[in-house]
Amino acid sequence: MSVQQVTQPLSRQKPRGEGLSEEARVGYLFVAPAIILVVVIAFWPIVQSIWFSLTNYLPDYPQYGSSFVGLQNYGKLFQDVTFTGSIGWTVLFTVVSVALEFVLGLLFAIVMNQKFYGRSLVRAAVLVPWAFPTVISAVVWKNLIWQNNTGAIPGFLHAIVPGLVPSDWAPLASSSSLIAAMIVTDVWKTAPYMALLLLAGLQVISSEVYEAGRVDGASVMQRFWRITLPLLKPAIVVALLFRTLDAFRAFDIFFVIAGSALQSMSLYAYNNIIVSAINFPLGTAAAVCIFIGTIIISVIYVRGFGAQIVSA
Amino acid sequence: MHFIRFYHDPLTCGRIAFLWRQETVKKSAFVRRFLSAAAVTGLVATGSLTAAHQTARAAGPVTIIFWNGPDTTGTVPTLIKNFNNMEKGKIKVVLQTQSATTDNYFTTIQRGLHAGSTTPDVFAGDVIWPAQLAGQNLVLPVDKYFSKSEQSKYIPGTIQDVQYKGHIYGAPWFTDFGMIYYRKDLLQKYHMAVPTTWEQLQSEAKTLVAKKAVKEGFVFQGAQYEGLVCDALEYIRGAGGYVYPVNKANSTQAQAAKGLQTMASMITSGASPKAVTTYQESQTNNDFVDGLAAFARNWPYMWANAQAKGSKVIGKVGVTNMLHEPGQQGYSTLGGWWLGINKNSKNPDASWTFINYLISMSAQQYWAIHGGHAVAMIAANKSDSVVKALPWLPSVTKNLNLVPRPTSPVYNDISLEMQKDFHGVLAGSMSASAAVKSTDSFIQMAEARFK
Repeated sequence: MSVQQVTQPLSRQKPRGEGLSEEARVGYLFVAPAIILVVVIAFWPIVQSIWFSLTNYLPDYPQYGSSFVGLQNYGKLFQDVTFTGSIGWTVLFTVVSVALEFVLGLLFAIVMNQKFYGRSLVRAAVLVPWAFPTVISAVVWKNLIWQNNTGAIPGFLHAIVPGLVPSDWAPLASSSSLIAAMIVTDVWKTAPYMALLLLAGLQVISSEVYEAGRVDGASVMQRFWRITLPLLKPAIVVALLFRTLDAFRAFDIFFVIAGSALQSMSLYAYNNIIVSAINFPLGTAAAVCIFIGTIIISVIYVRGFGAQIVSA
Repeated sequence: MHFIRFYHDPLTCGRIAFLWRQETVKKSAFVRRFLSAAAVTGLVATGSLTAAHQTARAAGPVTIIFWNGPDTTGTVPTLIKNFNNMEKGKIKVVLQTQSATTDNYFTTIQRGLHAGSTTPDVFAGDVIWPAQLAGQNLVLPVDKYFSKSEQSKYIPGTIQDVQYKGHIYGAPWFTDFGMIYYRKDLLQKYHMAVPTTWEQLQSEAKTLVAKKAVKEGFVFQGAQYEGLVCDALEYIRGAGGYVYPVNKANSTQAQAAKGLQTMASMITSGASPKAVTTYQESQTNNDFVDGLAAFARNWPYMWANAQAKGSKVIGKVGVTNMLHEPGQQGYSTLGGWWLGINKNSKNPDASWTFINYLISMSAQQYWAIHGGHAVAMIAANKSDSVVKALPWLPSVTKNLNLVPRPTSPVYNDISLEMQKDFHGVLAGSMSASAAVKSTDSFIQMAEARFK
């Protein structure tokens, strides 16, 4: 992207001679360090991971050598129910948590965009959950909210609605309540982030548009559906894209709250690449699958919804 | 995991960021694979910068960085202070506390040592580590410091644990074994005997819950992690089964499956809460010390917590040996911690001086009394002051049978497999015999390929 930005204005002067103009050449020279950096720290490791996922190389056992095995690792990967299960959990987690975060975030953003006494205090307060590192909020929520004897929720639900949950209810013990617990934790933490991105979008919408709407007699709901949402769309799409990618690669919440009992794709990759000494190829194959997944998500957002990442 | 004794879980995700701050990171297989893995999965984002890494290189005392799991009794800092006073001007030990979950601590240290880090100099670790670390040539052999006659002062099993292929790779620090804790007061009140079989424990626990004497009957470590492996091995061995060595495991699959069934029946019978499938040591400890549970399986450390200020069961706790199926013997999983020296340490001599202090008579006695551990030195465990602090020690150790975890350079992988299989049985998603078969075939594969 940076290449385009720099060369576009320069290209207008291009017809003077053949090839690149002096200024274009200097321009490339200036961006070269950035490009080299990206290639070295982002592109090269990705290529290497893809290569590792096609071999049987084990870093802990270099004496076994490394040979090309084609797509064998991917075959094994998709036979592993832990991995196929992790795809399902990851997708469920992503879809539900991002949807809830969007609704809540939009609500917060609209409230924070109004003029009222103590607005800056509210804006700061809403952001507090986002300021916690995810591991910390996950540990706190696990022990103080969800854990059966030390957490607030199981006892609270049992006390207010007798019979709703059994006295020995353990939200973390079954997969369905476990994923729900993780989604709620994630929504608590990242809805403010969503709100912040959407608030930025709201602030660019000119108040004149709303005044014109009011003069024409548009109701509050009409103004929301016909003015706010369409004008907010670029901000919404970018915010959703960021959050979807983040949620899809979720590691820390699963690592802390679920342990190995319910794995996200990233946690599966971690367990095989870092913890295991013998499943390295399988782990890199899983990592490549995550990479492909993120590309698919990005393409859907950019092509399908017209996300304009650069200008936003 | 034997160190977990808190009311919170550890924050473990700092390890990846931390690896980048090691002083000496050689280009290694790990760096390569970390780079590639991180780029694709975005794991780097989990970094929370915690441990401080000041390594004094100036003149004056030699600084020894010591890694240990968390110890909230405050005993280890006191021991270090004593040592630093004794060696004033010569050696200064700096403690850096690591993750309370041994699996995570191990990953940190193994990856760091693999990358050639000179930190830590000395570390305390679980007894399942020596084979893995020595097998990959990451720890210093200490044969020249630790003579055979010195070694004979320690419990033989703990010495064997730190040996690998004819060399000794460190010193045993304390030993751990599973024990059954029970509420003396409740058994007395309801005229029950101290259980000797799992069956008896289960029926007593059920009765106590039914009579509303306690909220929970029996708590143990049922979460999918290393601790579950330790608990499950006790049921398996207590039913006459084995998972290791391979030939014994093959011929005792039926007994092993019976053991796992007994473990799962704790939950299905209602003796244990459903939540036990999420329990590690800390939750076990919390429930028992808060008086919520009648029985608990845990390591020796919980005794000190049960008698400490804030406990609701002070003076109401009894301890007995591990239970078994009728006609069998009870076996406790062998745990415990040892002290090793980083192969790349710049100060191996000073490192040994510190280890030598920690395994000396006075430090071992202090560690037993204040840390609540059965220590490695035989004479220390028998001394009057230790027996006074740990009154159960003589009787429990008299009848102690120990079951080790499999010895293998790829123990991590064997453990992951066992965790998955055993947790499947507890959660009801896998039959006990299928779990045993799956574990056995995995261990056979690991033995054949990664000796």
